Amino acid sequence: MFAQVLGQTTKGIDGEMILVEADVSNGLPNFDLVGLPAMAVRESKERVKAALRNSDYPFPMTKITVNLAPADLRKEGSGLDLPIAIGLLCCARIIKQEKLNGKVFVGELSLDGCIRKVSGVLSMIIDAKRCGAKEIFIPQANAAEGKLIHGIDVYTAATLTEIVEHLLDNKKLIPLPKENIMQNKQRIYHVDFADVKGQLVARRALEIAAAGGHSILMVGAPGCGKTMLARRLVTILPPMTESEALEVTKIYSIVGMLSQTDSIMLERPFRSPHHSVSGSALLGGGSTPRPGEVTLSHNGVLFLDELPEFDRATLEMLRQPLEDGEVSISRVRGNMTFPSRIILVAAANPCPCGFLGDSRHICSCKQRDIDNYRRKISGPLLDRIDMQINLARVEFGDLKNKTAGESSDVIRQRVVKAREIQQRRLEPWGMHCNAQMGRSEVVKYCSLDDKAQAVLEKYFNILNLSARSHDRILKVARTIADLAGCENIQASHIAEAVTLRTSTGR
Amino acid sequence: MCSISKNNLGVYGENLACKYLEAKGYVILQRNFRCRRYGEIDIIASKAGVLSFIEVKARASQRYGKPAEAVTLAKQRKIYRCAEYYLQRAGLISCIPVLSFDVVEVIIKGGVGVQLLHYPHCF
Repeated sequence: MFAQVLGQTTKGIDGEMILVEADVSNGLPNFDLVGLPAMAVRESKERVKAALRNSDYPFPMTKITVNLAPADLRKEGSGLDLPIAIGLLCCARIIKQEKLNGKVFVGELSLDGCIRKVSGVLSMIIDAKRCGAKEIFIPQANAAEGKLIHGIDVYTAATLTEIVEHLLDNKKLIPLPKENIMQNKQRIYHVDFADVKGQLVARRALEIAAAGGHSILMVGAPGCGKTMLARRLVTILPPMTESEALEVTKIYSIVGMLSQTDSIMLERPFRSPHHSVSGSALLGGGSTPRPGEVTLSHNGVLFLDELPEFDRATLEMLRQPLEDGEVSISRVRGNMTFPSRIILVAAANPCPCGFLGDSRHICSCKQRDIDNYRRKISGPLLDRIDMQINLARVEFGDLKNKTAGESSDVIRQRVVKAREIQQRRLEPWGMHCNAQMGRSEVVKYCSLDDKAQAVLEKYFNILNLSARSHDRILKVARTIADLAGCENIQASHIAEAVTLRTSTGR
Repeated sequence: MCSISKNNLGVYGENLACKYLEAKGYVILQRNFRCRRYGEIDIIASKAGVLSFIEVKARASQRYGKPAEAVTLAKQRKIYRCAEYYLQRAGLISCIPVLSFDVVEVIIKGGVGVQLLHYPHCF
């Protein structure tokens, strides 16, 4: 007796349709599960046996073979318990095969027959819809993810019995109501730019970073507000589009970090890994590729505090994600490409004691220590960060000042306007912001008049800038011009872009 | 009825089981089917197209747990091997009928009587 049921597993951040085939025949009692199951899937056998017995369904004591097709794809996760159980029930002639066509089943079974939550359900629903399935059954605990995708009926159930009763037409389940993803969702950030006192240069630089998607390094004494400012960068970024929000929700669903209450993640992610983070945790990896911090901050901000404390080799690995917007991971168990379009914000002290250049404190470091400390952030990495600024200490007067700085809402409106200009300009190239422009786009859109050209040339020669710096300055200047609403880049924009890049004296 | 030694208890239990099965409509095909490498199957019986391999466990006391629990995983595997050998010898290996691996528990309560429990399809 043969049965076929559709299930889902995850591959990278996407779902992958799995055909679960169950065959029950005469022979010595045996249960073979084939199709490259990973450990959690291999243990399905025990869970399915116990769940079926405890739900008062017969478990065939005979030769059982279950195949997970395609046979050369490694299957991960425990979401295949449910389709295996359904397949066995179909072989026992309790469910009819016709009832199973066009339906996908996802869920982990507990020993008493309850259906438990699975990671990555959102990606699975998207893939199921793509493959043409009409209905999908997911665990009740994943219900929030089921409301987001239109065009496919999503059912939730708490126990195996509920699903069987539904398939036997005894007690039908009701599909989940769909939500309109973006409507009526108030994004409430708990922090605001109005909280920051003073630091006008940094506020300006972060506004430019938000507008153009540029990376930024802040250098300053301890306690001058670097971390505080970095956390507030997400509040001035434009709201995510529907596809961006879905991408982020998929990623967080796959790693199991999606909260049960919110269905879709509307706030841009902000990740701040400790400087002891390993290369795999930062970029992604593990024996089966898993998203890393750069992917968890996709469409958001990655904040590296105390940049010189990071392992140098780990920092060098950031090159690909920063340049390409995606990270490719090759492991024994497969090659995977994860998205990683991020805004990188880094913070550092100017020297080991932190007070070099401070107006009140004297720096107590030896020159050699300062050089060693600075050298930790290598030239190539620094070159790839678009802006590098010094933060001055906050004076008491600023702290006591009752008038708050500009609020995030105000700044964000300017950022959104600048982004709209970039969207119109770069959409045909498939890009979203100035920071993504390549050489040819820079040549096309960042042409300078003679005056601006002269200014750039002067700085280029005085400061011995590299060719990469040249392009990056142009891109930042383009963003500054967009923020000012100017069609052409002016000399003043170039000048500001140069100071923003090189004010830390490198 | 009184059991004199352990061996007799086992044989007594098997006889009782056979009588019970016959009364239930089973046809006893083999008793104590032995194979040198794979051990022994107590009773091979058939009823309504189902071929049953039955292990009989007779106990006088419940002190060491239910008799059925004495059929450990290792013993089950041995019985499978022996059953496979039987199927081979009977020429059924290419067309295996519906199989059933059962346990029959015989609990002898001193002075009161005998309790016999049949667990079909148990492993």
